[in-house]
Amino acid sequence: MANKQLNLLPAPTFSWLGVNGTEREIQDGFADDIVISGDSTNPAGIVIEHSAKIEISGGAQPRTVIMNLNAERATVRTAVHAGRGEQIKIVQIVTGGEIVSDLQADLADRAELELVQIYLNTADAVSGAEIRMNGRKAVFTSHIGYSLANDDALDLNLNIVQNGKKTESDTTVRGVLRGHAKKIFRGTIDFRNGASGAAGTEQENVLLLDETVVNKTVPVILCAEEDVAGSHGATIGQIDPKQVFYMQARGIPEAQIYEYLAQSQLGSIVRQIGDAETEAAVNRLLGRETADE
Amino acid sequence: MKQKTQVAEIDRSLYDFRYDEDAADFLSSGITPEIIREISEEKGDPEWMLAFRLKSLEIYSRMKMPVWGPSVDGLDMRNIVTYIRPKSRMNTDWNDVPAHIKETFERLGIPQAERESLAGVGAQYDSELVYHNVRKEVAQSGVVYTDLESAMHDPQYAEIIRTHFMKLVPPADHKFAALHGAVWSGGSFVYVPAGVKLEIPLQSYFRLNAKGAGQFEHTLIILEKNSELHFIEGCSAPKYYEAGLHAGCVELYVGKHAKLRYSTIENWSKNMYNLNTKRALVEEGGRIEWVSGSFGSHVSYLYPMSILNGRGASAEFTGITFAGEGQNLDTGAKIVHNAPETSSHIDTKSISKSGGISTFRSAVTVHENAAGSRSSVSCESLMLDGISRSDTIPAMDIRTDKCDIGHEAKIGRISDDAVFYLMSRGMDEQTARAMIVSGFAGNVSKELPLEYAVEMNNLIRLEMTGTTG
Amino acid sequence: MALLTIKNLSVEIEETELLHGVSMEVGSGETHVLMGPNGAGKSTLGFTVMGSPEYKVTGGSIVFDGADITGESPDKRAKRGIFLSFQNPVEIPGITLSDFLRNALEQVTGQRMKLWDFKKQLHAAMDVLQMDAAYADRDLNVGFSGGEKKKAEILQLLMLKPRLAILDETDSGLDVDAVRTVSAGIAAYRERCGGSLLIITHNTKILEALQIDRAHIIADGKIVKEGGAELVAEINEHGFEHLTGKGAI
Repeated sequence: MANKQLNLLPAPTFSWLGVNGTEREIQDGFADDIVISGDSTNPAGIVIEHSAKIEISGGAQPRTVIMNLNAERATVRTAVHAGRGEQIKIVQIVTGGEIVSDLQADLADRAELELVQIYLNTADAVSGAEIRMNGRKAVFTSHIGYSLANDDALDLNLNIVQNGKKTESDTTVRGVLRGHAKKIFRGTIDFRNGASGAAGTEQENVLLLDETVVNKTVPVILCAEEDVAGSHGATIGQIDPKQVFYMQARGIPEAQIYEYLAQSQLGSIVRQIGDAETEAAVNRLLGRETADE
Repeated sequence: MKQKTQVAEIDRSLYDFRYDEDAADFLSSGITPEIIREISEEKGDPEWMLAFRLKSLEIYSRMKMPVWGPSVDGLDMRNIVTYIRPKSRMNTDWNDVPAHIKETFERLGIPQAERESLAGVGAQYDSELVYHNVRKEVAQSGVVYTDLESAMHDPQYAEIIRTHFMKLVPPADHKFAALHGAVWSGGSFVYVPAGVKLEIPLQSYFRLNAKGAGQFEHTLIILEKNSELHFIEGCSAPKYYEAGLHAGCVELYVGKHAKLRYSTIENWSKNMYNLNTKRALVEEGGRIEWVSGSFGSHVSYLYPMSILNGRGASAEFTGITFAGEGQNLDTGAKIVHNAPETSSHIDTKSISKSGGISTFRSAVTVHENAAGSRSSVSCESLMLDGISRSDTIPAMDIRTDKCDIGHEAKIGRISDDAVFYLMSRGMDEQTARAMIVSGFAGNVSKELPLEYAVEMNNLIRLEMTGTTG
Repeated sequence: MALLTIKNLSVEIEETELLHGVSMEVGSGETHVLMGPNGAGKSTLGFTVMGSPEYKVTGGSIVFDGADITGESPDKRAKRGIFLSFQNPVEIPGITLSDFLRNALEQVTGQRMKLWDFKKQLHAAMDVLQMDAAYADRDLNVGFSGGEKKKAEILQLLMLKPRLAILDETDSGLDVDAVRTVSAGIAAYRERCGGSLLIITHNTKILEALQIDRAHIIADGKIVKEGGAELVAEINEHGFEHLTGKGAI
């Protein structure tokens, strides 16, 4: 076992903010070594309860891999290779305790990677992803959702490196924090010189429901190319009183409105899973009726 | 006394830095307690100030360089002695001013008189006269505007200065704040009594005197409740210093329901390391407005901080940064929401050209006790070519649910459609691009007094047409 | 000799040819109409005459007042006296309409202008268009409604006094009153400057008040018919189908 600096912010900032990275113990050895490549058929779902190494490459057909990370303590490394024109979709549902997850992806020309990550009541999760878009016209889309309460903690780092010309990235993050939950989201779009015609956008929306939560958001754009369009945005705070009033006016009691809006906060992310069974399971964990699905 | 307690509290919660002891990272300071004593004696410091300087020096030699931000490797700290040695003389001959700076003056159309004032010691004199006139006019209302050294020796203000000096920016804040505490010299002291609202801005021109003060000047402004002031720092002319390091410090105390606007157009010569620290403490219902234009310097670290310390306090930051060839300008703002119902707004633009690097860096923190607070940050960056660089590194640390925090950033280039549209109305491409960039900077020029807005537009035009791009 | 001579002009954008050998002439002081269905190449022609870098001339030439301007930059063309009113004028934040116009005017005329004289001219022109003087101090086209943008374009036409004005769908999306105001602006331009007009439209309402010297019908990037004012009436009645050979189904 060794301590390791994780989730480093690609461009460090004021040290006192405590967002430049984090340190965790890394588990030695991997209980599972999973390889999904070439003509492998898509697994219905992978359940990961111990440290594991996973390698995923694309094939002639679009590939979807659903991973269920639920462990007391585990280090999970995922490597993704999306070759020329290949389409890969990865869904990660993360629940449990001290989880360190790391995802490294390479995208070749016209490769498309879709990443759906949902974090539910993780006690202490550190999850990093680096997406290297080297190929021309590669496309990366991600939908990240989290719902944390009590003393849950989540440390996220998403680093999108747009090297290829006309690459496109689009990141949507939505979350709910309750109780003493602590969360950091670092999202970086890194336009490298030569990535002409590239576009990247990132948006985080955080709903805070208790005055004891701690939310840190660090949306970074690095840019060394003139011909790009990048944008990011973040909205953090309580439920809009206008929304509350509107719903009250339509007859919904106030107490229900908060719960209702909190539960639906992740709705648009859950819908991106695209697998009815998994979606239903996630909704159950969110305490959400699935009637509206 | 109450003030002091509040400041002390903030000190602990915010600026408690931990630095790992690692001798390899320390820079040889080149400054000794003997030199500090020498400076102190020369300036006739009161005893507490000498103690303060020596303590700061100790902190300075212990602290490491920042681990983030642009490189300051080109800064030879051993030369700091040269910068602060009392006998060093400023270059005061116009003929010795480098050609490109002279040319800048010509193009800006700075009048001969002002040009002479910049080059000669007489400049200082001219500026004093301007101040003197203002002072006469406002003195009757009880406003004090003088240099910090003489105020420190005035029995009426000595205590105020002792209780406020480097309390907002403690020497342990960062290495260059510690350096400032040790070697500071020159600067302004402004005191506005309760209820006094100054209609005309006070302006501060840097004091370039033969003793080399200026690089470490200290500005201390205190606004009592219900007072108002607009303070303008810098001047309409680019300044030239022989030195390569500027580590000034600005501390602003904004009393209850007082309002302070602090405007800066910074156009240092392009060999300058500008490591300036500016901070405002805003009490209940008070307001601080920063207007900041950064055009000069080789390297800049500049993030004016607003600490909103009383219910309903507010801060606004409007800034523009233009990084051209050889420049690495790391600028932005910091806001601390430390009381209920506080609000802040940051609106910045940055432009990168001819290999220049501009970085927008911000920190918005909302404490547990800041329920009902609002903050919005908007930053926009413009890349004018493919060899430049533009980074946006904002951070938000939110610790209450009763708040509304918004952030948006955009990066891009001048649209071809806009250029074509202007060209179709008769402008050549260079003019069209310059015009679009001026418009892009409109958020700042709108906030400046007319002559400064004109000045800023001239600077942009100069940057856009004076170099190849 | 004609003021504008387009000879065998072929134009492409991103490797797609949009105009295939178009020729036409516009004489000094004449009013021409260019009509055609959507996507026929009307706007392409306007943008190409103005010199938009997006449109690449692959063949033929554009001659203005005896000079071949085919390769010239847009600002040089503007200085020669060509004006294009944009269908979708670009928004330029931070620059007021007034500042912009004064700058453009000085560029086109090559002369400094006294602020007072400029303001007088500007307000007179704004009166013609029934524009509130407050628009002068608003950022160029920013937050302008469709009608306001069109008026601001005609305002520039009146101020810059070009020798040839190409009006690209100046009437589209306007209500009856606005069309009347814009028409009055165009009439004022004809009266005061005596310049030539090339009006691009698929609507004939704006033409009612004007005396048309010649009409050109374009379809699929080619001129399919030319004639006098009577051609406008013909289009009004029968549409374009019988000319383009694509009958309505």
